[in-house]
Amino acid sequence: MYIEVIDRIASRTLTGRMVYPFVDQFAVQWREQERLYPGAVVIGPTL
Amino acid sequence: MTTRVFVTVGTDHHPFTRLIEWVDHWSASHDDLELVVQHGTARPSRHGVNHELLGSEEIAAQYAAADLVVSQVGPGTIADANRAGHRPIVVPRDPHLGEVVDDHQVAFGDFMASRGRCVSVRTREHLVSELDAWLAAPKPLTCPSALCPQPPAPRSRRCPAPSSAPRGAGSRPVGCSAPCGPPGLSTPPADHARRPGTAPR
Repeated sequence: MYIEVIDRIASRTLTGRMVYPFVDQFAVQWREQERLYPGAVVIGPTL
Repeated sequence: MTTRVFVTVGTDHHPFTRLIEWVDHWSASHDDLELVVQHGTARPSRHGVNHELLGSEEIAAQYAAADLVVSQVGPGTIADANRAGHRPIVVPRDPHLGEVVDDHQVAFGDFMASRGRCVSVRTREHLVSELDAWLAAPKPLTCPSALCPQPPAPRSRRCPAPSSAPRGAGSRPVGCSAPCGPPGLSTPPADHARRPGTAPR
């Protein structure tokens, strides 16, 4: 499982781009990040 | 009345000298400030009590003691400052000035500002005007739901006690249904409204 960082809502991190193709579950922290990673689950902010 | 201002550039190794210069420019014309600055790899402030780096407990003590927080657009800084009852005035680092690797702080600053969690400014003039406006009429955080996806609750609404619900996998998005405050928030401040001179010392 991968959780994308909280403070990038307009672009993808290098790590996010690298692991997106093969992780079992890809999580984002804001709804605004969903469009960057189709199929990601929104878990809400971790901070 | 003395106003205590805590300024922090966070832990990024890139120097954020611009923020220190802007704060120094502003503070030079104010006698009633108690300035504490965590300057990182930038030069120290000319007017403040300087710290190159502070530990998490020291940072927490600074938030508790401060009337106003000024910082980079750091998610941890904004969240922690919010929990301490502050609405920080933030300046995004600029990649074109060697302050950060890219411009994500600009977007995130606007994003958090739109949720009422901070005031994000990009010019020295705007920073000065916001600082002076704050001195004239402090803008306290109305709800300490630090990174709640929802807009802040109305000013009169009190925040509910934090839920004890476990935050396991598959749980609903944190903070999405509550009017004010994600369950993960552990210690809402007793007093949301903070005015200069009334902060605990």
